[in-house]
Amino acid sequence: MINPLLRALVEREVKNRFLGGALSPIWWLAQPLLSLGVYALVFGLFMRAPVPAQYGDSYVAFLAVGLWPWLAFAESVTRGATSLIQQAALITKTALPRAFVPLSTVLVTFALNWLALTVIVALFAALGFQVHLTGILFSLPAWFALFFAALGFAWIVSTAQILVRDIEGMLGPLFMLLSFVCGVQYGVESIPAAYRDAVMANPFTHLIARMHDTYLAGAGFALVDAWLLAGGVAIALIGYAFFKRVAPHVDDYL
Amino acid sequence: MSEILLSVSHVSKTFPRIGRHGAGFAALARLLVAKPSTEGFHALTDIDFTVRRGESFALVGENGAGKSTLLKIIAGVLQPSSGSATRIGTVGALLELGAGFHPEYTGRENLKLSAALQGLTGAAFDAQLDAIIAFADIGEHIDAPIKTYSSGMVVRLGFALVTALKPDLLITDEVLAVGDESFQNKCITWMERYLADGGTLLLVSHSLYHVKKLTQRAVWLDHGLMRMVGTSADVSIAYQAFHEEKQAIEKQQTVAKDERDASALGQYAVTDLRLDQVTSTGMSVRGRLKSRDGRRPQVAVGIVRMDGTPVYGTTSEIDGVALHDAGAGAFEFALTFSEWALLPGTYTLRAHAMDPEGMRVYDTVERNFTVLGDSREQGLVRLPHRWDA
Repeated sequence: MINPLLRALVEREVKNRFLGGALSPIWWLAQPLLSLGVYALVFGLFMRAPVPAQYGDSYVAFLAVGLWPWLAFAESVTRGATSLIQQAALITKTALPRAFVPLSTVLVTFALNWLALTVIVALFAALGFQVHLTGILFSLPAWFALFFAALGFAWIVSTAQILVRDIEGMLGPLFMLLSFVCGVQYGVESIPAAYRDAVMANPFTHLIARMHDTYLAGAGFALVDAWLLAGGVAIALIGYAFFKRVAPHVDDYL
Repeated sequence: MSEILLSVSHVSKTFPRIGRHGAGFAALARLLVAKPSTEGFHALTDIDFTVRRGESFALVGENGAGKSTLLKIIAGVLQPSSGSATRIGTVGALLELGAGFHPEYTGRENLKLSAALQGLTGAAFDAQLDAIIAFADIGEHIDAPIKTYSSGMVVRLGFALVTALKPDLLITDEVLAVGDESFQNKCITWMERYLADGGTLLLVSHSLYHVKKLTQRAVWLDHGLMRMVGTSADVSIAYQAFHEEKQAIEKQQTVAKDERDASALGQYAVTDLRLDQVTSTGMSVRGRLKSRDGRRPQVAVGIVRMDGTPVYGTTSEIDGVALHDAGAGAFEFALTFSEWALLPGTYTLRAHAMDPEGMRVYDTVERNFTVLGDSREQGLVRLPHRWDA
């Protein structure tokens, strides 16, 4: 049984996404599609980034499978950063469990992006691209690992942002850099050997690789899933500990 | 003795000072190593009291005394810097006009989250929804965004939710000050029934009438300190006396000013006016008038309520009294009101300098005074009356 307060917050969060602008009802799908188009144009068409052999021959499919999970993560943390500030009226005047606020943001962001990729993958399969529908199941551990990591970071930045208002602005460039070094737009094979060890030390590289493996190469569960999940949960716990320390005092600064 | 529902134990709250550029990494680091700063604005210092089930309790104090901060700590919204507030049972809090309501969402959507926040969810909420909407009396507006509501509608909706919750402890902050008279009466009627049914109330109000009517005990907060705790009647009297004293100081300052300006006044002027021994039964007034042409002026003395409603007025001319000639164009008078029946409250005494014929008013000087007491009778004066069986 999901906590009714969390459910009410999630409902609000979903409504927020679909209220407002004329494009809102499709924005959750349109925005990643636009990013997909831009990256496909730049890296696929102009720079001719090669698709690693085991992942078939469609650059768009390769890009899509890495991009949506990555966007889910980056968007969750970025939205999470301002979530408490946006709900200042609520959290400073009611006894709402504050951890629910970033949690609902991350939950909704992941749900929408997961749904979008699932639809896209099904569409690719129908169009005859080399994708594996089993990936929808076998990618779940990687999705959850990414979700927990995003949640941990969201808990940290949502509170830190209230005291240090520059944080949100730094997240954009940081995530752009991170996306370039975890194999979203091109395979790690395209990165010069001298830097490859550093890239492989990045846990996100392995998370994105698991997405590629499961959706594109038809891989099943693997031991690395357990490691990634454990890492994600560890980040979530650290984030929660941080949040527990800081969140009760943010009223003084809101 | 009934069980303790709320225990406020040595609560202190300090708000850190924040610069224009936010708190910064240093403040964040301090929070992380769990050493909250002791520097800053001390909003509350060592507040300590308990509220038992069935009791009704008031917080009184001037603006900025820390009442709202204390209520937020009690409601669990704000963390105290030290000490603790322990609650048992369900708590319903009406902290502010529309607190927790989001302007973009409809009344119904806001009610859902607010109800969930106070523990009313699912089928129980659905069952109460009609009653809530009926109490709030906002009709079809319930499906319009809150931003289209008037402030009265927002308050009505907030209060209506509380009536559905029937919490063990109800916390309200000045909410009765908003909303029209008929809704205020509806709220007070509901609160009285809630209290009669064994409910526990913690009320912040500037209205000593409400404090005396609805609560048994009260705490008086003054600049974050607990100045007094006791029965509502005792605290009300002390609080009223404090205000009177404060006004007396201001009064002395205006007296000095009046005397300085006396030379600039017209033909006849009031140069001094003093009120002595204000009690619930009477008052002595002494004053001095100045006459430029040396003729003996008349004085008119009147008492009005703070809102200007006249209570009583007379003149030396009506009463056939001559002012005492103190020489050098100064004329003095002394007047005693005895056995008046003024009800407790704050009044203004006006003295007017008039020409010797009692025809024209040349100058007016006012003094405020407070009649103490804990009567809940209404109006200006107590009329002698008796109830016949």
